[in-house]
Amino acid sequence: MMPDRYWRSVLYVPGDNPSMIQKSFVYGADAVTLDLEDAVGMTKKHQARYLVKNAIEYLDFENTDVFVRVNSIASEMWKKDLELLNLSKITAIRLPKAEAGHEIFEISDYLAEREKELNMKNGSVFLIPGIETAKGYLNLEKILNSSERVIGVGLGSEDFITDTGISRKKLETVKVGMVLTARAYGKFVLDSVYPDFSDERGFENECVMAHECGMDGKSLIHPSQIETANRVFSPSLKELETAREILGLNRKNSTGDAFNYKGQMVDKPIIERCERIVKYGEKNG
Amino acid sequence: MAEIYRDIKKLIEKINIKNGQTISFHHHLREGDMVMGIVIKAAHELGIKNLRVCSSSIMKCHDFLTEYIDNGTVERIETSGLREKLGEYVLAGKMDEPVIIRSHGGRARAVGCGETEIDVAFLAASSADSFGNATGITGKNAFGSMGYGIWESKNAAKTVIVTDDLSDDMLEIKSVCQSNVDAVLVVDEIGDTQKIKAGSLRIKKDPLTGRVAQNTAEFLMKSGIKLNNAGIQMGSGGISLQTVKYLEKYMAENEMKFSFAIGGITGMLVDMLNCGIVKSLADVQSFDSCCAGSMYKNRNHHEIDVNTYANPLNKNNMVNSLDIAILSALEIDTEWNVNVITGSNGKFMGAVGGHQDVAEGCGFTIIVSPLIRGRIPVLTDRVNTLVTKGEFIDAFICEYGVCVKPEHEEIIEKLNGNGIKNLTLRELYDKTLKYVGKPEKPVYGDKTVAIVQDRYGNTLSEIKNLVK
Repeated sequence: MMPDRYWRSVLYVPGDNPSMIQKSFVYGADAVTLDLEDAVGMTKKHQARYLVKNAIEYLDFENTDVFVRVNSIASEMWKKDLELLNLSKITAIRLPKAEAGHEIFEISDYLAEREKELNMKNGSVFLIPGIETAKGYLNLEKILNSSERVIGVGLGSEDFITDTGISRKKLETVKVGMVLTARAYGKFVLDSVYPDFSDERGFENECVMAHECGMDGKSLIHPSQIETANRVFSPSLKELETAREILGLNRKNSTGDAFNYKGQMVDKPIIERCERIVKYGEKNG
Repeated sequence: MAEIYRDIKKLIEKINIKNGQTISFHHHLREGDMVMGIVIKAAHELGIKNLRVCSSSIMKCHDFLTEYIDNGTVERIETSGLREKLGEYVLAGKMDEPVIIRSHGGRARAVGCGETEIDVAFLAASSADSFGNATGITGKNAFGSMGYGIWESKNAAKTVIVTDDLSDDMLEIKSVCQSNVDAVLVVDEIGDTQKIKAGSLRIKKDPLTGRVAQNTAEFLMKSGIKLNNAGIQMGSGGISLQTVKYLEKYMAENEMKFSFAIGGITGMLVDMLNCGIVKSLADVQSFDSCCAGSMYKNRNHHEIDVNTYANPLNKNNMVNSLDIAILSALEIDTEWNVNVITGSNGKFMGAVGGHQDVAEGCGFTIIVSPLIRGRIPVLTDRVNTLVTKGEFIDAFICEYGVCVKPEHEEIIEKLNGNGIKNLTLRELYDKTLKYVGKPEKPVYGDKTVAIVQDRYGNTLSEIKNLVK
């Protein structure tokens, strides 16, 4: 199942920067990722874990969902990253450099134990693995199916480019491939960050390309990118109106058969897409 | 014909400036001003003592004044603002007489009614003619409006125009009229061209400023406050400039126009005038160099004096016609009082400018600021220095949202209907306590070093010497 939420813009915030964490939710991002991995140097990991713990505990993130990016499974640091956190205040854990399904089992089992301790419903905390290597890409199907907690995946383009030698401009095929696989299992896909936040046009072009590839949103490194991402990954007002009209006609269609809308055949997948668009509209006014 | 001088000392001797007299200046040349320095230096060399310097504001470029206070040339200061080295000097208690701090309107009143009697006004002009007419609109160092200087020329006992561009032919535009001018002093440069032309205002790209601006623009679009045909003062801070940018698009899309914009006029307001989004500009002070050219070419870009702008004794002043104003703050407290002159560390960091005037005269006054700057809360339990009374403020907008005074029930209802939650100052204050705690207040001594007056000359705050 696709999640009942929309993460068009997911802002990375370094876990060791209290000022940025404190203001991270005021900019209108759908979610923030408090980062304990790449944004935090080895000597500051410990300090960042406490900052993130306290932020989650004491800040009111209002309408912004909170993700935490832990260190990779291979590093063994991820457990330390998670052991301090109040999981009930986290929507999802972002898991970098996912390459195999068994990695997901391990963290999923750990989360199940913690949820039990905290009297939380099993599976409350979602997982969003990051695809950053060729191996991860080739094992995407296994990763997506490794746990019910996996609600989607994110592309990590910098590491992916380093690992594969594929240029940023040619990542389109990879993005389409990820979307096809994720959609087959009802999951969503987040595009990777665009590192040059001063290049507004380049950023917007990349958002448009990702949107056209079917991706659902984008990871961001600067608040100035939020507005553009929200705009590009939102359905237009016209799309919203059309979706509402189609759903209205569908309610009157007692047979359940496909029907005609302005010369276009409307069947189940179109109805589902329209429901998704309208749900988005209700959430975002 | 006016008397023309090229030697400042000869001029000072001729007009006979005496010890203890009051000389005045405007700050239209921003950080590029050289005129105050030329006059004070010459007065010192002539052995004149105990002058009162009355300037529409004092900038960083006037830090040299400390030297002339030390040597006795300057004894008293009246201004709209203090900053940097001179500010620290004053706070250290090194002046015998407290600095008098007034708003632009308060100064216009004091000068107009004789509370502050100006013996000689030295008014920088980027162009003057041999008749004595002067302007800031033309000339190589054109700086725009002479709004503060015009009123000064009408009230000072003697007026000296200081220019670096003297024409034998009569000026095309006359901001200051020859009938109010006693002499013209020609100097090599009235200021540093680069600094005069640079202007002080650029849109900041930082996301926090953008967020507050977005919240402000959204508030104005959804609060039910009438924008079409409104009179506005948007201010010159980064948040105001970005708010204008958001509103510009909205106004154009909805075919709405502002009636007029006043105050410090920015390049962005000039653009809005040119696009027809604002019908006219009333310019008492130009913040961008393009304003001079705009006033020269566009008959809807008016130069006004500070009396017309904000003198509270002039009932038809323009601030009283304002519908919406956006003002900044260094501090705001839970009683809505605002401080724009000292930081939470007690240091001088700004100027009153037109803050008191606009807040009192305007229909709806909004204070915009981040709730927390760095790790210092802007919202506090009590402002360090009271500059503008809370009774004149209607709303506070920060990165966390909008806070409208409870008595504006209709606006609050409208906001709620449009999905905008109206926060309370108490809620926001609690947020600051939770996030950054309560910073220590500055520690002051017993000596009064500055007095902040209200528009009518009453004392609002006495600032004491800063101990820590």
